[in-house]
Amino acid sequence: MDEKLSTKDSRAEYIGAMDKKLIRSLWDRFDKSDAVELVFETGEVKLSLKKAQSDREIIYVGGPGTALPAGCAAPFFTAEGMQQAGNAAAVTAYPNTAAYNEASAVSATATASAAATAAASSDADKSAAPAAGAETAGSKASASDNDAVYVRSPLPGTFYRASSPDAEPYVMLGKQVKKGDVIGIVESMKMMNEITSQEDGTVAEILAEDGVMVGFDEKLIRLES
Amino acid sequence: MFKRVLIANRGEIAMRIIRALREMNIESVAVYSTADRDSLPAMTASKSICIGPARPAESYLDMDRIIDVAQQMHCDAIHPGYGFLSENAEFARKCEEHGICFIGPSWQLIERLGDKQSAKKLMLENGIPVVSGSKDIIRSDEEAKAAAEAIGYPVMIKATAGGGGKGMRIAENEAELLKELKAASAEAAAAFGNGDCYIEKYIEAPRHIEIQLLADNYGNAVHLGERNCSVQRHHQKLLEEAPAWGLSNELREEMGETAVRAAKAAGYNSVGTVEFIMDAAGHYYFMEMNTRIQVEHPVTELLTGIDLVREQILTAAGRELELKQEDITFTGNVIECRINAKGTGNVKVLHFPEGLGVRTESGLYEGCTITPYYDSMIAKIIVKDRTRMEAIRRMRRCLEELVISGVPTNIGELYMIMNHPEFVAGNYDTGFWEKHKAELAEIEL
Repeated sequence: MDEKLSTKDSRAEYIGAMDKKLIRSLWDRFDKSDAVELVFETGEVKLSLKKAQSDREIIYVGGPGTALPAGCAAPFFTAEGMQQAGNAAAVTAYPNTAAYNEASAVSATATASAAATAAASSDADKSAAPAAGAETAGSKASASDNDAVYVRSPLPGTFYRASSPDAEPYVMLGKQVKKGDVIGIVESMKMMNEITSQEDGTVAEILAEDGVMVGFDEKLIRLES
Repeated sequence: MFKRVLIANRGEIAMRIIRALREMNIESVAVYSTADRDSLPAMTASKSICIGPARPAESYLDMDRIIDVAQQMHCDAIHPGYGFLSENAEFARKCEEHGICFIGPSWQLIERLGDKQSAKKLMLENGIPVVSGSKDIIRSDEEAKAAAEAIGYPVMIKATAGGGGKGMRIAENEAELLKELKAASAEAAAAFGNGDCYIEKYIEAPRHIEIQLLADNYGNAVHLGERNCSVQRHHQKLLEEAPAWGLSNELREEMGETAVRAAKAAGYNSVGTVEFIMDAAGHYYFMEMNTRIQVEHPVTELLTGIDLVREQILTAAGRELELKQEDITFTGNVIECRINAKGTGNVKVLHFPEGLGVRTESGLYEGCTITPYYDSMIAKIIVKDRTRMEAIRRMRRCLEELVISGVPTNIGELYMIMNHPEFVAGNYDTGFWEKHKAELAEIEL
């Protein structure tokens, strides 16, 4: 049976079947500790104490003992962010990204697995592979960027490979493309913008994912002449 | 509470917001221009996306593009930082129309308080002194005398078309008034083709004292003390400090209460700053109100221990202000120096000062590039110590320790200010830099 401690109850030595001194002692220790809940059970009596938490803490910190959502356990320097940073040398120089991200990945994975939330799987993937991200940044820079021909997005928006969900994609790997051909669509401000190639060539790589946001100037496809 | 917030800004303030959001378990989305592809915000926000070329008009100021990206990335709010779109009522209204929370005051408040005349009117309605002036252009000598009489000498005669100090004259008494009025008018007519003048109270040795406000959406508002921002070069702040030297507790309380009263009267929400101009005798007059988080907000944060950006986000999300005026206390002395790049370049060596009572805010990292497209401020150094003299000594040490090589900066000039006897004495006004600029000519540190 649950008993609520009554501080006004000075009449009896016992509250229910519990010694008042014991209750007071439990109360004091609980109050001074970081714990938010205490349940004390003997054969006959169950004492339950709970702390009211600051509303603010619950809404955004989650209160003591709560695991962070997996998305926020991602490393401070994100794999995605490092990848698109063109200045690879600077990026690896500060702070010591590979080692940092490796260390973060270990703690991030531990936290992510501890969290019982069904967070977006893409975030969980990111927190497991930041070291790879740092390497990708380097290799992308060392690849012959200047020789390759890219069709880049002229605006930020969602990239689509076809004009509609049931239509054929504008281009596939190996397709011959002429200057002026439409290679995909970028949706921005509810308008479907057809993206055309500025060069002739063969589609060697498709870099943007269907239905995923791309940024201004982001590489959509790579052409080979 | 918001799940994902887009930051419509860059540099050090974007970092400030990213950090605050992360501490609140809120995802951040950084938008950046091609010039900021390698920036710290782009590398550290939960998600980042390039929105346009370097030119602000095509990136950081492109309202429709930013809102579209926010929608496509499922952001529930946008934090505008300072500058750029932070005080753009149209942008705030567009956010509202698209169901995105603009982290700042309502667009109606931005509009009302952004207009100097309507802001002054609001202040007058609430018994807040405003720099008094003639309502209209002076059309005759009689009008001039009457207006000056009403305002009280000394007065400033200002050409309405004037600028850069032209067409401005001071008159100490009625005898000088008509003579100076004629001179000002003639000068303005020659320089701008328009000799119309009005008369304003002349504030001697003005100090720029501003009051930080924090309000929620339910009519609760508190003030967090003042900042003295009188060290200015061509109306650009170089450094800020709190508390303001020589400001009595009574005056501080009065100004604070005054600012809160005005905020409540306006139905203000979010953070904001009321700027006053103060004369040597301690009389203060409303100048304008800034309806945004300001560059110098860390000064107040260190003075009070309150996280202003977090509070701003909480109130934007509809939380009621938990802080009561009696909860707000001021300890110690805080000084902030703004580090400006005086040219472009690549930061070859970067070393920030550290230690107790030292805080730095920047988007810098070793190897980063300073481009010419944006504001020249690249870092802020903020120090706190128990007394003002100790804070000055700490700032000197920090400026000595600070290394930003590869880019010319104003660190030397700031160091000279920290050592200038008039600054150290504390009793300086907005004329300080102009008066001493030769002595402050930069040294190599």
